[in-house]
Amino acid sequence: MDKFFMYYNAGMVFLVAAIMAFIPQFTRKDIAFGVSIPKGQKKRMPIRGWEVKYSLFVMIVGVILAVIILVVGDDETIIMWSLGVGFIILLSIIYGLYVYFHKKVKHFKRESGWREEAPGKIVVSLSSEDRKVKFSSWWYTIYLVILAGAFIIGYIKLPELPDMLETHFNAAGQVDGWMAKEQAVWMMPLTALGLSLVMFLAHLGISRAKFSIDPDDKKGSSQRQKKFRTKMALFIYVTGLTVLLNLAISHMMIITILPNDPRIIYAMIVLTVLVILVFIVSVFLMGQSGWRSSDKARSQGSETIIKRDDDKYYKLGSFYFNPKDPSLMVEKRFGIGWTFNFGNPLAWLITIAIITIIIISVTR
Amino acid sequence: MGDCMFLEINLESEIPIYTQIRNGIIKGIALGELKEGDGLPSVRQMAADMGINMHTINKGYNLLKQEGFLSIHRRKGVVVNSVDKYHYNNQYLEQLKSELEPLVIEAITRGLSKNALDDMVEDIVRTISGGEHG
Repeated sequence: MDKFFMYYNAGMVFLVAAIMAFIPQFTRKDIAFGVSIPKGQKKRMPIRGWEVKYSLFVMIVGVILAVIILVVGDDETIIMWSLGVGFIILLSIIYGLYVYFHKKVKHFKRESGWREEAPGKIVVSLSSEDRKVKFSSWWYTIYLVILAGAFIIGYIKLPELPDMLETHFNAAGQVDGWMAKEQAVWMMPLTALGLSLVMFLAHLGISRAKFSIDPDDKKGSSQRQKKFRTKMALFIYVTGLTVLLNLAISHMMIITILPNDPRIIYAMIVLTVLVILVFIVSVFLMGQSGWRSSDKARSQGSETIIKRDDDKYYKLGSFYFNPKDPSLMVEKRFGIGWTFNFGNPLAWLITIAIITIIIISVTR
Repeated sequence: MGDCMFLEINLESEIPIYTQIRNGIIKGIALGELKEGDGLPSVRQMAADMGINMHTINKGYNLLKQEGFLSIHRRKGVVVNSVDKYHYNNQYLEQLKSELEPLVIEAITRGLSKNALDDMVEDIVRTISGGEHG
């Protein structure tokens, strides 16, 4: 049983590495490592070679780190740190690789002299139905019900409980953390509240993100984009719900409604990982903005002309900064999904608020 | 609701963008793709999607509002009006005549026959008939 977390940590690090390794394969055809390029260039050398090298390198690093975690053993302290340290090392290496290849592509782009096709036409959808995400915000009331339930049950049970509650147990299943009941009873519900807010904000962000239509494929590109957003909204909701249930169960254990059985926790962890995996795979199969779901979108593109070059707004290819753009969220360049427009002050507000919440809840 | 109603803006045209927006929306109404009660995207949404300044979109929408094609509600947003709100009146007829006059006169001066002119008008009407406002 204590080996569970050792395998879990190794597995998680490898899983994340595997996902990050294949990002270049799933980002849009006209972007490589955060640089906008002509569509036809992705399949040609040297860009294709760089993407393959990146993928291989990240996979190898992932395997090495996972093996190290397994070899280093199942000592409690090590297990506690191995996940965090493993991630930090993995993500630092990945980011370093990304910046390295980003610069290479940028240099190659300059040398090749590709020109941007002057944006003669812009197409926008007049139907607010077409761009609306087919996943209603009202589903989030279920979150509220679970939250309210957790708060209310905790409040009711409070007087019956002993002064100190068991709040943490280690990988061996032994209790090693206690907290005064007045604090312990709100720990999980507050975390759950923070999580619910973040999920709901992400949902809103996706619903209102900039909707771009390709003038050469108006109907197709808008349909694909709508499907992609709906799927992502669903993904965020289900993931949030699963984690919310995890927290609710932990909460029930702390206030002694459920027994402190580690097997319950393991089951929940496995379930959560499965749910997330299923969604990640299906979203990756769609590609950023759903470009993989149609043959027309996949077909050959120009090798020298770039459709819309807004490189200058994406600092280092990842941070979008454009004060003139009223959007709060725009599509990510390296990865799948959306990122903030840091030229919009609201983006900073939300980011700082989230970081503050995380810091407060971790240091408590 | 229309079948994927799109608005195309030509950035290189001499026609100002707000005019293209106005004309595009009126055409949508003519084609029946925009019906009474349909909601249009908000100014913000349009500006973000197009990458165009909000003032430009606002100008187009305001024009349409003045002319009676759209209503802008605080909560419901931008909505297409019923036809009686923008049905032609004498003032519109006078304005139309003064705009048509130079065009028609120039065409005739350049040797175009009245029949050819009629045919052209018919062609244009034909592109939008088939919608409810045929």
